[in-house]
Amino acid sequence: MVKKHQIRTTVNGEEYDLLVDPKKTLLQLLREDLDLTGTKEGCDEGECGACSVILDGKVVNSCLVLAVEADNAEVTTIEGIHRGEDLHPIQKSFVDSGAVQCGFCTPGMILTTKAMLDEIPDPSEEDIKHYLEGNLCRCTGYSKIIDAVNLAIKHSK
Amino acid sequence: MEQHSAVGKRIPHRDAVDKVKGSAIFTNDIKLKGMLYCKILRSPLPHARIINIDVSKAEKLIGVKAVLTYKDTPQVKFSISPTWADKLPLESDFIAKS
Repeated sequence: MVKKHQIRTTVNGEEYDLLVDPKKTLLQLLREDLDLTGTKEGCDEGECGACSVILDGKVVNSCLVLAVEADNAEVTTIEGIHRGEDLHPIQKSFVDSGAVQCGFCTPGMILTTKAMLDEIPDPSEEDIKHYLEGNLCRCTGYSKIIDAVNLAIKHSK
Repeated sequence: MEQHSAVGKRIPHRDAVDKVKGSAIFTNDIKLKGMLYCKILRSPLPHARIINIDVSKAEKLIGVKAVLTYKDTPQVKFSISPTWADKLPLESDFIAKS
């Protein structure tokens, strides 16, 4: 029997004391234990970015992060960025730009955009492409997603 | 100009808001009471003939409810795309990955 680890982590502003299997990924912890299914499992090997979450201000592939690494850390998922009933400006930009089709990559795209804008409020086209290169979309062809990011930048000014 | 209900108008994607909030439910997000989980065993060889599939050990494992092979599926060929035309649901005797 593998010894479980006690961790304390903050997810979307709420503090959790959890006993976790050392092999469990942060993605599994979020989806299976906390029922936060907005974080998607695409490739499960760090290629697609569908599982992107913000861990202490940095965007990570939660499939490649162990749950125990979230001990004493702050995690933000797609469920944690809207403000009450109102959408976060980035979420609204994605809706308004038609950047959402099947929606599977959308949470990851939005969180990567958020982490980028928190770090660089006025990114160049190159910055946007650089940040989003780890998030794959099979529907939109990316141009609507870039439009959405540009609209979000415009709104935040 | 004739008025249309959709043409020329800005129609928001009907479930875009649920999708940007992460609350849209995809098949993988569904959990049902007593739900069973399936694991697919793929051929370790790219080009081979199936002589026999012995499922007796797998069936004895704790928690295993069923093991399905081609013998349990209807032998009706079907297609989901031209590349995969005339395929059985599970291969019966010959494996050739294209």
